[in-house]
Amino acid sequence: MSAAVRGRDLTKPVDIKVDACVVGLGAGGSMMLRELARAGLACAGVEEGGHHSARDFTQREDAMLPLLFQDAGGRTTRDLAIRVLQGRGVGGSTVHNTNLCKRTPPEILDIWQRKYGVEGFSAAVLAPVFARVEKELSVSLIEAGQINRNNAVLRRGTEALGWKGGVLSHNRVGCQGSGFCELGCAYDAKQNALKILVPAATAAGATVYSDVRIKRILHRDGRVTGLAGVALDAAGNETVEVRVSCKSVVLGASATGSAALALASGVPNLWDTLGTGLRLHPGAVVAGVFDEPIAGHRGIPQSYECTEHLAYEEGSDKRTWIVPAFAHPVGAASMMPGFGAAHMRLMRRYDRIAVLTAMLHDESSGTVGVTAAGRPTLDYRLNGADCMGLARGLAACARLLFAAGATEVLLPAMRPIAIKSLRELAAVDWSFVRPHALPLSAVHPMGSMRMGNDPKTSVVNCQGEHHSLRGLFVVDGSLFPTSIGAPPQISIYSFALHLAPHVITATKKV
Amino acid sequence: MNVTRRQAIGGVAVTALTVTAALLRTQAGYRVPPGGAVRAALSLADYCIVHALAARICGADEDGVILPEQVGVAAFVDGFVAAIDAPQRTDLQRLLQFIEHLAPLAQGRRSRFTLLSAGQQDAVLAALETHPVELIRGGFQCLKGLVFMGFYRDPRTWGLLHYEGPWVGRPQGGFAIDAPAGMAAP
Repeated sequence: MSAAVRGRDLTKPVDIKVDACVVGLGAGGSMMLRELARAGLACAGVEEGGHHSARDFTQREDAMLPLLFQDAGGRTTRDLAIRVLQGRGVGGSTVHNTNLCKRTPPEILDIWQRKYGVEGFSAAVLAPVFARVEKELSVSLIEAGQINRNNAVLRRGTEALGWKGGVLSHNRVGCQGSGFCELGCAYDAKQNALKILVPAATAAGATVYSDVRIKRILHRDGRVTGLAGVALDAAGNETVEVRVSCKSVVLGASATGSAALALASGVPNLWDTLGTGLRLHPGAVVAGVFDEPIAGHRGIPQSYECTEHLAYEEGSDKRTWIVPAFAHPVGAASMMPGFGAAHMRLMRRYDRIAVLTAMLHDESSGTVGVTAAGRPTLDYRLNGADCMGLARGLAACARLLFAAGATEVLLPAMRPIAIKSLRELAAVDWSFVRPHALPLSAVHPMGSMRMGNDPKTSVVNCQGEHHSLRGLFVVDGSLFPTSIGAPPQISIYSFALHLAPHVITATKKV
Repeated sequence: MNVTRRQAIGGVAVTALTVTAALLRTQAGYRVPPGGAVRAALSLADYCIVHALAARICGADEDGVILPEQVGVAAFVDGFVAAIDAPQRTDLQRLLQFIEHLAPLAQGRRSRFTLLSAGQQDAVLAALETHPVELIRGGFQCLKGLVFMGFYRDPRTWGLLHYEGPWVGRPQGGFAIDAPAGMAAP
């Protein structure tokens, strides 16, 4: 059998017999698959989306959204209030993310230890793990010459106000600066799961199955026995059965997909913790109009951050992380408020607009459910404190844009609010910052299968294994007990690497 | 409650008339718009509704701007709807029917959306954008995003934005992030 099998090519049912099978090949799943293979275990990775390469990435939004995103980029919370962009395909969200590399904040790890019963994840324990991941993925500080005008606006505003901020790190090598990162890198500059980890896993003996939808985790007498799934053709239609027999199942299908699969499979859930605790790290954008060209769609999309309004302690007033958020025309059009001629007038300013997003380190808690067809449903509602925190973040974005020289700032209410001065900003009624009253989007779902020592408040233990179903492990963002207030890819890669020895040992014991 | 045979027959007749009128109201009078003869997923009525919506959502701010019907927005939405899961498809079709028949009523209009004037259609859409029912507001946002995708995916719209489009196929070697828009392309 080839090391890479495409479900769309399968014409007969397939039976796979391995020691361990990873479901979902994003950051966590790919890392775990490589480690399992390197440990000499017979292992397979199964991914619902396709297995693409740089030559497939055409830089066209209408083609890449269906190719690289769940629900063609149209996934939302069940009340349609928040658009949730999640990856699909081998490499998961690491294929379309903007390559931001931040370690899990030590303050967060400390809160997890003190309040959520998480052991073995202190900053000191994880430091060498983070360092190894950063080395493997060629993480480096973004160079000064790679900071585009949209990011320069944020830096200028941050420095003018004397606020905290800095240049970000990334995992790109050979970046061409085309600015199409969120549609997959056509130049293969991203040092991500697709480019680095999956090839290493297959080289070590793993088999990767793409276009295969897993529908059930099979288990008996408190122990995992395998998986039941189905291959998908190129149009996404289900074709032949795919069955997996294995000692261990590792879920890496994201904070939404993993929990939905576990729920659909009747995984034990004695304390009703499975699928709860969902965080979305949602954000909204503020646009500033400038006299000079900004052309934020060119170059590295996010290279500078403002952290003045971000604190990690629970209950803090400061709960937004501010970064630039530029998009290509389709994305920009859907973020801009209004319609018709007024909307087109805004779009004409596309190349002279700088856009910032305030991303909320949310304490609101949602749930993942599952439909009869096995698809995830997301119930999530921002609480009052989070709405106020987001409003403060959006006001901060407006101040940053004015400080950087914006002549006009557009606030993202359904009926756009245009302001031309700080005096007008002071008079803004921020009550529009609530679900369905402004466009909200999220790219970092977390939680839903939290880790911890107490089965009453968590789903898996601190080795990533389900509290009562032996052989079921989780290695994606589902593990987080809270939001981490930062892009999660380095955390997910690192947690998978950190947990791999436990999974290997447990699998070998069976 | 006792119902006589005569009452029952009368009830059936009234129901039949009502259903027929509703069917006529929902299906009659739709003319095939450009590109709408062959459809992948949408009914003719739904296709016409999308066609009318796109004309207003992507309405031009001045003369001479390319129109959504020239770009084929309704055909794009039709193809997109054909590729999504059945439950999502059903939700979208319900939303289209809501916009066509019920949203105008809330504005005091007895005509369906596709028969209203441009100004009346804009008023209906503005009301949807701030509709008291959150699900309707959210649904309209999703629909708007889909229509914009159909419009702004077309290279003929990019000139409006000073957007150069994909760089794939152009010589590599780094792209000038500081060059004025439209001047950085090799």
